[in-house]
Amino acid sequence: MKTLRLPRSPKVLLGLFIVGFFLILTVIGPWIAPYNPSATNFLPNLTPSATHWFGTTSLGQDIFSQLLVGARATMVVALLAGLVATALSVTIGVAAGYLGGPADEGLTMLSNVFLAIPGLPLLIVIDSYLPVSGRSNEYVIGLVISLTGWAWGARVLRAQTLSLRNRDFVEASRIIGESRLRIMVTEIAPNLLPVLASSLLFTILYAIGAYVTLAYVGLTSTAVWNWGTMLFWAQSNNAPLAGQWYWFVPPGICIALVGTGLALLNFGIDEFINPRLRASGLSGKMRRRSGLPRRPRLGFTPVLRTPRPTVVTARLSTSSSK
Amino acid sequence: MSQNETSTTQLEARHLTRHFSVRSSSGFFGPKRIVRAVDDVSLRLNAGRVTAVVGESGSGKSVLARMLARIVVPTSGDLVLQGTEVPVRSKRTLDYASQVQLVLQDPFASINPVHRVRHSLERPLLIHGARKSDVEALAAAALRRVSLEPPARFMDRYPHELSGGQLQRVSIARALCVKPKVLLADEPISMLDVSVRLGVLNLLRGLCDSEKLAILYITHDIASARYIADETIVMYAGQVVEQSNGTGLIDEPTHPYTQLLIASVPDPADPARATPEMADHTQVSIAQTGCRFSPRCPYVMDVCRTTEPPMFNVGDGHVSRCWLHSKSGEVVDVALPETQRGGTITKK
Amino acid sequence: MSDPLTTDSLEIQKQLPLSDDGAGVLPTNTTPINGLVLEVKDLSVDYGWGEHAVRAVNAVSLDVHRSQVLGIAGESGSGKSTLVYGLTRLLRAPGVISGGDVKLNLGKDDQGNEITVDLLKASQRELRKIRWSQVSIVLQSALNALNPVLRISKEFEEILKTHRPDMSKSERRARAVELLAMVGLEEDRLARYPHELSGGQRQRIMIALALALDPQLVIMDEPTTALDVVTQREIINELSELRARFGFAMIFITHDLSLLVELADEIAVMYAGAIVERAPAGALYSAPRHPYTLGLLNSSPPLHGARVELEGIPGSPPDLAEMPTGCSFHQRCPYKLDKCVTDVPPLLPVDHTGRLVACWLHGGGVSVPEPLAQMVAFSATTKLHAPSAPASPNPKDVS
Repeated sequence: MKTLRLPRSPKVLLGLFIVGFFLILTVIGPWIAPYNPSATNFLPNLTPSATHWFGTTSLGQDIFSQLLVGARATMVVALLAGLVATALSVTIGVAAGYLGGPADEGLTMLSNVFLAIPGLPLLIVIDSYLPVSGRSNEYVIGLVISLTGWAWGARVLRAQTLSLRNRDFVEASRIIGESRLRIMVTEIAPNLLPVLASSLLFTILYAIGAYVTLAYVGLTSTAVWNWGTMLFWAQSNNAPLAGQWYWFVPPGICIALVGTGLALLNFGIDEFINPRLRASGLSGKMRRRSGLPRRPRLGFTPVLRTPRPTVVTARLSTSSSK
Repeated sequence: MSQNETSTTQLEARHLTRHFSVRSSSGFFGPKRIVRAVDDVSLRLNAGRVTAVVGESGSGKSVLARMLARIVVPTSGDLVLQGTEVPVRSKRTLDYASQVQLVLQDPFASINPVHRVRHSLERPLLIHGARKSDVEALAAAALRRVSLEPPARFMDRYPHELSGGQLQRVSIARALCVKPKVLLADEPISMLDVSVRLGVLNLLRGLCDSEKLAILYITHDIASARYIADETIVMYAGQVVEQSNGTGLIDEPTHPYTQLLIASVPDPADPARATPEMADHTQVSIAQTGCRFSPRCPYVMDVCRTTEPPMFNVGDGHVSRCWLHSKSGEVVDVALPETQRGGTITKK
Repeated sequence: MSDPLTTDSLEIQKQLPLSDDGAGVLPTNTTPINGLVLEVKDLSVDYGWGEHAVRAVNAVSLDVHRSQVLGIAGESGSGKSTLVYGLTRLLRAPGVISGGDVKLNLGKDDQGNEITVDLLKASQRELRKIRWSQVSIVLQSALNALNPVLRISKEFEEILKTHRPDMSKSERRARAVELLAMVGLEEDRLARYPHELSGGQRQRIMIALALALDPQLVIMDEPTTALDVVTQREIINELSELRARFGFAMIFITHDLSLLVELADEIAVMYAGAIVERAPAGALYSAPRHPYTLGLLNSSPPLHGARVELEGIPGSPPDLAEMPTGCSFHQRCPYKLDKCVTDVPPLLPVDHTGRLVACWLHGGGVSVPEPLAQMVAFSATTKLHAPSAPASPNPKDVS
């Protein structure tokens, strides 16, 4: 692949920072949590203080510890669901797009069905049928979420595959005698990476929302701490009415932050795909300094009188005929 | 290379036809139209000879190439590979792919941009049975055959790091990896810089001579066809309208379309030549009945509008599909071997 | 380089002159002095800025007169398209004009004053006034330029309405029909959509649109490259006739040198961002002075005559970001001198006729190789379709 350059855009760097931060939290959260999040031996309903940074719940649990420990489950499930859903959408989307014919029709119908069915009610229904043991297993929940999250990505990838399929290099591979499976995997799929990455990010976003909602509604086991469960408890103890903002606002903000970080990362992928965005993405300050207008205007090429850039001595290439 | 020298016919096409049914622009329920992309084309590709097919876009030359490569199924007609008839209705075999290869027009589009050159060369080798241990050496040998030396310099590059000419050579090298007997080249130089084109043309000619390949060279540029062809075919609207050995039809064009083509090419060496008047130069109409060129033909006669002309013999190895030659030449079925031609009236 | 060249269809070029001081449109049918329409001095265009800048056009000077066709020949990386998009300020980011002067002479107004527009100093408003009414560009692919959801009649309507507000609807329609007839199309083409027309017809419509406002200068960027050779011939013939009739100046860009020899009065050959030779067409063809021109001419296999093996030019055009020292062509040149590796040859007159060459071989003190020292053949300057009545004498015409 082309050499990966560190993105210069502030949006993308911010996104990287946020997501990176929460990923680190996923790993070290439970270790650095000051207290056991389930321990109820503190004074209940305390406002934020030095000992309890976000106060305590009405059961006497430390909210900050819940937040830190809860990061792990939330992020792990979201990532898992995102990855599995994306894997599903690649397989189904590329196969549908490339194979065409009855395979395409069948797979497309499948995706349409999953798209049309409202995700959340379906999740709730599936979830309520899970045995209790399943419900308390985060991986199972993750898989269930991925079942409802693959359809959109599959459609997008199918469309991309359809356009790639008619490209000359795919035809050339066919002419050489490459098998269909190998063409899909080694020729088409690598060209889908940017779209895939974008789809992955969106699916993770969706998975977080789905998981938090499931937990909020009370369909996941309360033994495992996650941000949605925190919201569940906050809601059922009337925290909003009681003015205990420190209970439900922090998990809400964390969810929003992760979502924002993922969305910002998507900008970076867009820039990666479209180099022109990269080139004109020079900061306003640099442009002003060089005397150029802040935003490039169409039909009005700027005039910036500069001497000839230093000529780099080229390697004397051996004159092989070209 | 004189036409009397016998050289093996590697691939032969007999009366190849390809029709597409297209709905006319009046929507889903509109009447269907048949587009005759290729109509009754017969030709022979012989070892050590370059056959040039000259035609404009819409002449069917690309569809013809794809039928010969068997990635498009003909509506009717036969293919004979090295004397054995090929079952055109069934799936293309790996063996056929190893004998007949196709090089496409745009080198930047026909090589996967995410893989290095090495990958593009290894795949055909591995698919067609080379041993993993031999692959590196074979790929390097292929690069040497297309004059990309030293091979090590190009193996690990990505396509966008090479120039158009170099990349087209890689494309040819890839085709050569399977050791085909027939190389089909669909406008291989049209997208290259002018100064680079001759290098690739010389390469193709060289490969033809040294490896006794049978090469089909498709182009819209008749001057480049003249440069390397041992046999020239002119196509119009899906049909062969003129065919000759060497470049006979360029020196003495007998079909009005060929004459028009040659007169239209910019030729500063002969600026005073007359451009023939065109009967209807704004319409791009192809007649559905009779001779397809009749709407544009300056010599059109009544018979041209009603009946499609057969191929007539107009010289030694030179045939023309035009009623103008009905008196001087006898009808020819190009698909028949040389010895059987002339005198037989198998109109198609 | 991806895309800084494609303009957004005709839309940018057709943009309304902003309603302003009522200074309105520029007068038409004026005759510039000396017939000089466009004067470009030392124009340089870069992609990017600061330390990442790449010079795509390096100090190019040229001038075009009324009724004259200036052909610009070059391959990829030569900068020929960048040059014309740059001088009309249509180059997209990251293109930047980094030096030079571009002056457009539009003749006299009612008071007898000369109107000269400095394109590099003009404001966006002034540029909009000039575009299309004085300078128009015909793009390479008309399919990309014509709006696919508009009928052809609409395209004409828009242009005429914005630039000629005093015309009535029926007058506009009549003008559109007239323009179509000029390029050999029937009136019924007006009701069609672009996709219903062939490539040749679309290109003719582009030409008709380009001429709609009687511009002084028409720039054609490879207008016939995507078309078949027969259509190309028809269009070239039309252009010659139109030029003879209306007397506009034309810049014709192409990679096909043979085409230019037939069509152009003067040809400028560009290589790696600079002009390496400039001469009248016939003289360039029969007696090239620059090794690159010679190589280019030898790269086209002839249609008649003996079949000989030709060479083309070994190597390929340099990467503009990594230019060689000295002459940009020296690595591919069969007549290279020591000096060529270190010093950049300036573009200088090679004889008294005004031909220019940038090559150390002609600097004196070195014997010029025979292929580059041919005599100019007089017959070679005859054009296939010479304009019957040139609007003004062309001082550069050698014959």
